Amino acid sequence: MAETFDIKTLIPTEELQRIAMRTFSPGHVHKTSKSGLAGYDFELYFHFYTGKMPSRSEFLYGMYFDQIGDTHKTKSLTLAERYLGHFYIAGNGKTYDYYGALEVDAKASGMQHPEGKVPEHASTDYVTVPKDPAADLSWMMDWSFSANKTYDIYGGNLDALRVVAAAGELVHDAAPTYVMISKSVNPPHKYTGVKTGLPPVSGVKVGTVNYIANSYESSRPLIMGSVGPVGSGAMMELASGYDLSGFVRPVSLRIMCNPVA
Amino acid sequence: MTLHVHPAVLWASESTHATEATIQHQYKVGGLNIEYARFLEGKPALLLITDADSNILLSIVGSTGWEHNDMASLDESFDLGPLAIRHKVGAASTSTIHSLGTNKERLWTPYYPALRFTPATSFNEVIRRNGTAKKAYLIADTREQFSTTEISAWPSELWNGTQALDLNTLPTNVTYLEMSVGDVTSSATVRLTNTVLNVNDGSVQTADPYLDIYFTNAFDDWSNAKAEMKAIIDGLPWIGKDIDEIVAKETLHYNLPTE
Repeated sequence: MAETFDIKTLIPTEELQRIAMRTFSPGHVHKTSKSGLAGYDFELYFHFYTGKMPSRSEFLYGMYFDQIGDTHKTKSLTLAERYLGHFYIAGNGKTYDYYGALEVDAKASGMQHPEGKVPEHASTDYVTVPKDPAADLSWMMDWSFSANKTYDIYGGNLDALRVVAAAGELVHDAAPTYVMISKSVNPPHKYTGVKTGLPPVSGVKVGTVNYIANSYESSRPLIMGSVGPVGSGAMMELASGYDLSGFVRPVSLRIMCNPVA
Repeated sequence: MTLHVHPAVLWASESTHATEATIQHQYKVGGLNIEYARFLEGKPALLLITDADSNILLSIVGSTGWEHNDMASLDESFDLGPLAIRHKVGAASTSTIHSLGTNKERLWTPYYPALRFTPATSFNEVIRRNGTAKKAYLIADTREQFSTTEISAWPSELWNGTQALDLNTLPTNVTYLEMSVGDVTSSATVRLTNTVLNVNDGSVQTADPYLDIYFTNAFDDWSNAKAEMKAIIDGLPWIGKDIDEIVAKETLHYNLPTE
């Protein structure tokens, strides 16, 4: 058995919180909110799925299982078949059906840099995003979405899922049941989905396994959380769109990071 | 609320090697306060080997960074493999066994970023003092005050062997990790060609060109994740370590006649 390590002496808890906060709380936004520069913009992608939410260990390994009865009453579905699509938020000021602008369509509490030392941005066209005065380092992510903006979630398998839902074959709500947040337009399931079969002569797909292949590190999901309507207590609550309409309006996201002691 | 944060956040937040729009690409290379933009990526670091009394026997200067490609060294506390599945091929009605690969690959292990210490040179290490190696320490200069290549830029008490290492008096913003040390046949994290060090006695080398460290508690306690995955896999008839195991599970699960 190889040695395992406690992260705390090397990365104190508050620095671990800051590492997480840097990923989900923007440092900078384009000052004119009109035209960003490729590669410089803070971006977060929200990928929505329906059906059984994977376990924490499936999420860690990037290996996802679905059996008959998990999502569909008589079939198993791959993640691609369960994918509703995505929207994203970017710091370049651009806005469209399936994306929104940081500080316009969604406000976020900004990054809290150590000792207040703000690293210099690669472009002088960017300004810092202010932090919420109430926010401390445990606020890994604190976003509010505009009541005036509904996102068209894009690129998923909605049409087929509507047919399945109309036939009454979905086990879960006919809605986005969980979301994966990443830094990539590529959905986390993109690379490999395998149908598994019965040993006798049979066409029934009893299970599926999705796994994430090497070298697609940027499409790895960083957060996985539940989705529900307002008042559900889900990680992401939707003011509208907890259905298969393909249009969602999130309320807010406040995610705390309190690493295990 | 159900919510999980993946250790990949360490890499996403810190790495400067990313190919897509990432956090670190926002910042100007060499710009003002760049040392505050990340905590362990590209930081000066020391690898120290001490005796049982914390006397520094060997010191190596280098740097730390987050790695994501080479998962071969990910230890068995996370490794599920090898695995095979019963694969339904296209629309055909028959199913075949499909191996998910023969080498350890990410499929069987989590995407778990490694903190890598890379020595500045790969040549023989300077022995500072006679003694028997008992402990190893990674010392990280998180605000980049010292050097990734010149050990003399570091405070002498942290490397030259004249004083015992005192973890209570480390400079501000210097953090550490204690690790096991052993010889090349050991499973220690730091492996040396010889654990008995003598300043007059030629040379000693680290057995590995770099050091990869995985934490089991990045944002969550992942120490039982492998057991959780094994429990899931044990409950699925169509996946196992090889064909024989799958056939045995299927026979039980579907109540098939045995041959």
